[in-house]
Amino acid sequence: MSESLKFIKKSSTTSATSSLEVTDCFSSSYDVYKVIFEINSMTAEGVIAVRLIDGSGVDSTANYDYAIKHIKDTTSSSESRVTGNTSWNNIWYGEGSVGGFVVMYVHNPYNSSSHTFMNFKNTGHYLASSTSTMYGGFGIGVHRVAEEITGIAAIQTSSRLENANILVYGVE
Amino acid sequence: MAGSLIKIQETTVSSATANVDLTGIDDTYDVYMVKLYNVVPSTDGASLYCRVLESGTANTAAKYDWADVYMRTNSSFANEAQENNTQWNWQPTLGSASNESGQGIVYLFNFSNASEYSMFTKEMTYIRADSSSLTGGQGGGVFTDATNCNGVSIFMSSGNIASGTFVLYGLKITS
Repeated sequence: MSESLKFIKKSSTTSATSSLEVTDCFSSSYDVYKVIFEINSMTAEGVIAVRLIDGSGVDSTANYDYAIKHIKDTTSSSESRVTGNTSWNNIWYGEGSVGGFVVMYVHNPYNSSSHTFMNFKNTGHYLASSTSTMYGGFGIGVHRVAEEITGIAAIQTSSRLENANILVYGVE
Repeated sequence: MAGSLIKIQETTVSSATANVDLTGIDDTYDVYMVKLYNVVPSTDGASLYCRVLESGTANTAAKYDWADVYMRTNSSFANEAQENNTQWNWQPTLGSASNESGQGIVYLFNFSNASEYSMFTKEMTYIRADSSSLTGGQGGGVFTDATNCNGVSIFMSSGNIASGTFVLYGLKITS
């Protein structure tokens, strides 16, 4: 029997950028995708957001809802509940060369009759006033536009995303 | 390691169906995974339920425990849990209006091991019926009977499954 997790595409950066994009990775071939964000280093402490790519490019309009449970080893957990945002924000947070990871499932991105949903988990590390802090969490999101989504992008508005990979797989 | 995620059964509901039974779980794989998407209930606000199958028959005993973090955009998150229920609740109060549907990933453990309880972890995301708000749950559950289960039966708390796709995979984690 054949493997049902199909590697599709990878995008990488080795220099500081504000947007790492994987274009033309979603198609009619699959309904559900597994996306792995591998963040190897940040030039400074910062947050990673995620935006989707449609026929007009990276969608930065207020089409994103998300809910996230944030977990730290130094403080109690917290939550984010946001509607009508310009990205799925706070998908990851960290700094320096410790890096971290996000594993995200994206549902129905290329279905023009459906909104695009996602769920994810993350893990990372940063120094909060010199206190070593493990930061992780999990969450959900929806992009409230019924359209063909063709790609996905990691956004760091201050261009602190220095070394990272995004890998996209189809779940057949 | 080649061939780690192997599709076993795929069922797409295009006309109202009482339940979707995914079978084929045995000792071939260590862990099984269920992918579900575009799930819509016939009755707005019905919840997506699940029971284990024993030799293809759903077990209705009050042996289903589960707990999760219930996330939503319109109010604070909640920690939810139930013991000795007659099913697991995978997606409470699922919406059926336009662009309202359920999606999720579930991992199944120990199902074919008659010496262990069957367990699952879940990651769900959907639109809740009463508020049209983004909703989801991350958590897990256990069927508190050490028995051989060969699948899962997925159904709605009331009414039918109007549409949706349900896929069972085997996950080989040993060489």
